[in-house]
Amino acid sequence: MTFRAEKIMNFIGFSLVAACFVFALVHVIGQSQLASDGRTIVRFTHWQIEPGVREAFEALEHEYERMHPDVNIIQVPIPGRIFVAWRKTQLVGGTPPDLLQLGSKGLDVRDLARFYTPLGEFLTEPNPYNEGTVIEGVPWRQTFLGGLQKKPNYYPELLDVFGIPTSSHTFRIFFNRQLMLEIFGEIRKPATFDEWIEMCRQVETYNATVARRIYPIMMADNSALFLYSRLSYAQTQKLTDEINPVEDFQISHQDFAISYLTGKWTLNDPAIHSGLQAFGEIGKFAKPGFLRLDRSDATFEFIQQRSLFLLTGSWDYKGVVEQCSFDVDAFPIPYPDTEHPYYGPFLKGPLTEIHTVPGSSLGLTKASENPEIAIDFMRYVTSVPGNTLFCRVSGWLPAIIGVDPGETVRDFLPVTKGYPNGIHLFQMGGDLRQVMDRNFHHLFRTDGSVNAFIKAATADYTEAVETEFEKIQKRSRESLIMQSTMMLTRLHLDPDWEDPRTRDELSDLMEGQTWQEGEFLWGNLNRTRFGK
Amino acid sequence: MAVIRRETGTDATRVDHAGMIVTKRIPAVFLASCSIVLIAAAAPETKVDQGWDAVQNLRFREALTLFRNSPSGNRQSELSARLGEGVAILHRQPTTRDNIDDSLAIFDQLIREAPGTETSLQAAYLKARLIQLHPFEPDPAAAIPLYQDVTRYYPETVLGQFAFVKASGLQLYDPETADEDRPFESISREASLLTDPDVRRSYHLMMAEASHRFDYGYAYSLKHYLEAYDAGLTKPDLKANVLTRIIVLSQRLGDIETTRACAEVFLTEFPRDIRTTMIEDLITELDGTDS
Repeated sequence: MTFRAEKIMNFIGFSLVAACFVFALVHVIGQSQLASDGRTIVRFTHWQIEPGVREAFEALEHEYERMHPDVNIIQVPIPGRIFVAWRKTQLVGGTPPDLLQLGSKGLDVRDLARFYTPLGEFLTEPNPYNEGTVIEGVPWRQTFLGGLQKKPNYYPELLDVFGIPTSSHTFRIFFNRQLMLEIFGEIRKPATFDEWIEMCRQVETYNATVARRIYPIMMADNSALFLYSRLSYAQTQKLTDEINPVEDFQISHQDFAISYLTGKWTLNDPAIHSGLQAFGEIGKFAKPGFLRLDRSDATFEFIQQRSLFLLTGSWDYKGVVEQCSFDVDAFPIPYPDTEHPYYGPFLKGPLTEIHTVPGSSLGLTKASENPEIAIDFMRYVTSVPGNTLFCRVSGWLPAIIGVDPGETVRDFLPVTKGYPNGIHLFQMGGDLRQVMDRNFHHLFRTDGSVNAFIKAATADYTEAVETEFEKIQKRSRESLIMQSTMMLTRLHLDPDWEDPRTRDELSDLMEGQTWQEGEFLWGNLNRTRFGK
Repeated sequence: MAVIRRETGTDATRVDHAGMIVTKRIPAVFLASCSIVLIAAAAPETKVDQGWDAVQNLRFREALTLFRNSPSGNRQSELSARLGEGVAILHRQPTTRDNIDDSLAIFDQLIREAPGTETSLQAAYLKARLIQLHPFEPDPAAAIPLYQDVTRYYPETVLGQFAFVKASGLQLYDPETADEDRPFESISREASLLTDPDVRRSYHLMMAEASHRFDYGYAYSLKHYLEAYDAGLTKPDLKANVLTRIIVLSQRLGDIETTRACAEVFLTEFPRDIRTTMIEDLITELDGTDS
């Protein structure tokens, strides 16, 4: 290359860099809080890119803008795969949207305190958009189905609410109505586990009469594990009563680990065995390799009519229905009957879904230049009319009391009659989940069995319970130190307790800390019992 | 509509803002000057308050800088800044032995040099917490006398009384003590000093749960659960759990009146709880027994 040509190339190169710089500058400046027509812009970002959800948010935007012509709401959906990295960049760079979804990994309480606004003070007043509804005049905080007491809504370490939930979900067994009519000559929704198994057997029999292969069940890795957890929850209801020292039918993670590590139950316990047996029994009717199958692959197979049943959640309903050339219906997981000779003795009854916790929560970022408007938009989203509109368009379940989600999602409404959860083997997550992932295949191999699974998993399982138990104790200790700091900070900022919230917050903190500390001390005591 | 508390600007930006006003009108200059004087006069407290505000928002590095740069001259403010420094160092990442030792040294200094003050009380309480929950060398047994000192020297304060609950918890859950020797009775005798209603609720909750876990006696646990419940539990999850335990224990002890009353309260207050069907079954069973 000649010197002159090199100079020209350098010039072009520098020009390109300069052009990009100018473009970026204009783009950043263009991200103003005012639209070109002078309206105030409020942006919100979520990762719910399932079909129907963006459209539902769009409908809410339009309705809100109709009521508030000086506001422009902009939705910025970001795929879940890149959401965590994207969010971190935006938060650290000081350019997050006004409202940003909470609940995925990669956001600890320090990030939350640094980047998100506590919302408790907004929730005490009634939501004005509920005027004329069944919850008119009710404080906003009390209008959410299942309440706001858990993450990603309430964060006990920070003593405040940071997330406003928009919807809730249930897990269901979808089925192909045409295929069911073809195989059974009628629509059947099994009421018990045995009926479901029998239907799967009949699909296998039907396969022998036709040229194509139809799998009774299609499920992906996560939905399979979810199915196991539900079956095990049911099969261990009575066992859980025996191992829970405070007898309130809700076993804590600490007591789950302590009871295992002190030998109150083992993987060979008949109740644990029966949960695994039920999963093994039904799993044999699923497409082989389902433990490594992706959610979208499983859905695709169902859409292609390669299975009668698909296991997934209400979040997928709209997308599945839109893509299927056949009618789709659904039913809840059928549990073994209490009269069943093998499964029955361990059960109290089918599981309830009444406690379904609302999620898909949005938080208000501290960088928001229009927090009042952003909060007001959330008031509308979570009002009876707003949430009704959201549910009707998205096909998702409501987060708000008094919302009628419409006929199409009625099958997905939580089952309200039923009994509390027992335990399942990876309920502490982390390493336990990995042990399950590595060993579940022992249930489904041609020579597989529950005993083969237990033999293969026990050593790793015990080690994983110990690891997760230590993690819980560590988190608990850190949280207790943090809470003490918060307590003293509150006393310093308001030494004379002039703000009525000071008394309320300290009262709440003392109660919560005593509860948590009891479990922590009980955990420490038991560590010595199992030799740690 | 609630008002968001926004971060206040720094002193520097306030001064810049005042400078802009100077160029406009003389009265404005006068007002601005007064403002600056007022801000400057309030600076020591403001800086310390800003430090605590940063602690509240978990911005510990920023808090440390604010505490360390807060002007001297006001004794109370100095003590508050020193305590804040200890707290900020304690939470500074990464957690190291040096940081913890530095925090403990500051707490010790405040306990020694400012006896009888609010700051000394808080330093003493935090020191006991830190000894109990130390990330590297927790020593719960050593924390008990520290908590007891806080109670002894500050018996009328909320923290002093809460320290009693902390010390009692450590005594009850002591790994070295045999279950039959756990000091429920001696702690009960000393609990009469607790006058703060929130602390009393915590005390009853702690006694109820510990006695339940150690099988100290259903009646004993029930008595404390009822006291905790009557004191007014604020957390819905905990309240539902405590009500359930009262229902279970009272039924076992044959106190059907309490069982029924609590079951009805449970269904009214927690209609979406996971245990609703069970409680409904129980009421049906009780109705059957009555008839």
